[in-house]
Amino acid sequence: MNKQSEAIEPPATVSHPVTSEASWVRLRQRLLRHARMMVFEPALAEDLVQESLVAVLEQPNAHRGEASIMTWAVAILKNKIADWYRSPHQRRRVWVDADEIETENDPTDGLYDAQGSYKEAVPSWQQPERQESQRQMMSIMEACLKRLPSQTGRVFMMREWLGFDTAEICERLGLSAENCRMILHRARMGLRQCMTAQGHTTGSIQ
Amino acid sequence: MTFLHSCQKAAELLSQSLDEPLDLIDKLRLQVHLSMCGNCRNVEEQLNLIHKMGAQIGSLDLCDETETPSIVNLNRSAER
Repeated sequence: MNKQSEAIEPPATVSHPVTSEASWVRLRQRLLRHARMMVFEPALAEDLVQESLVAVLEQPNAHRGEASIMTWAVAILKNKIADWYRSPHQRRRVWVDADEIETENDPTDGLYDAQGSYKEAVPSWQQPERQESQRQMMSIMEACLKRLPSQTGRVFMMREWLGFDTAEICERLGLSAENCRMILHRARMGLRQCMTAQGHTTGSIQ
Repeated sequence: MTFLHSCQKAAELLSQSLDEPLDLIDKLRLQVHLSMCGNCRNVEEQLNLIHKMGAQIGSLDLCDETETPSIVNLNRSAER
């Protein structure tokens, strides 16, 4: 099942930016990072990435420029991961640690006072307008995603990245609507707090 | 139960509204709360941004792939 050993080599005859060895390695690493976040078996993540890379290689002229190749490859990978989640035999298997719902630390613990108001003022974020600050913010978000409890992060990614609706997520993972809602809420608030802590604030406390 | 939501409840509804339409009463109560609460407006803005960015993970064109040092450090500390 694990085809990691047969690393795909780009065909030498195709002259395309992505086929330079360094770009290829970067592309593969990028896809792997996303795949590992979404599926819990490393071998499966490798397989999905490998299949995506094959799809990219099969149509080397479909896109020009590495940036768009990257975007395109990510889109292919997304489809493969979504298909995997939707395959019938994956049903409910994905949720390996149901206890996490109950035992994980609620990121909103200690955030509110007894009346449910914020104990401390919520700082506003600087809107990332320039491309450089958008990139930096995205990197921080990805780093913060890794710090979420893994299943919580995965539900968030299923919702936001794969674009599944909540009803489908609940069904696939065998969760109640209430649990789904709570997990997504915790994921978002956890990300928000983590990203705030990483310094993405204007410092203008209201 | 008061008509106004707490900030805690408002945050739950803000998250929920990103996934499904709220019922009318919740929607109104949330709007009234937001109109009076700067903290929750900030939270709303941030949750919306996270929602938007979530769909874009991996598709933001990072052409040169040079990651800033602070990000590398972040990743390292996350792996520890």
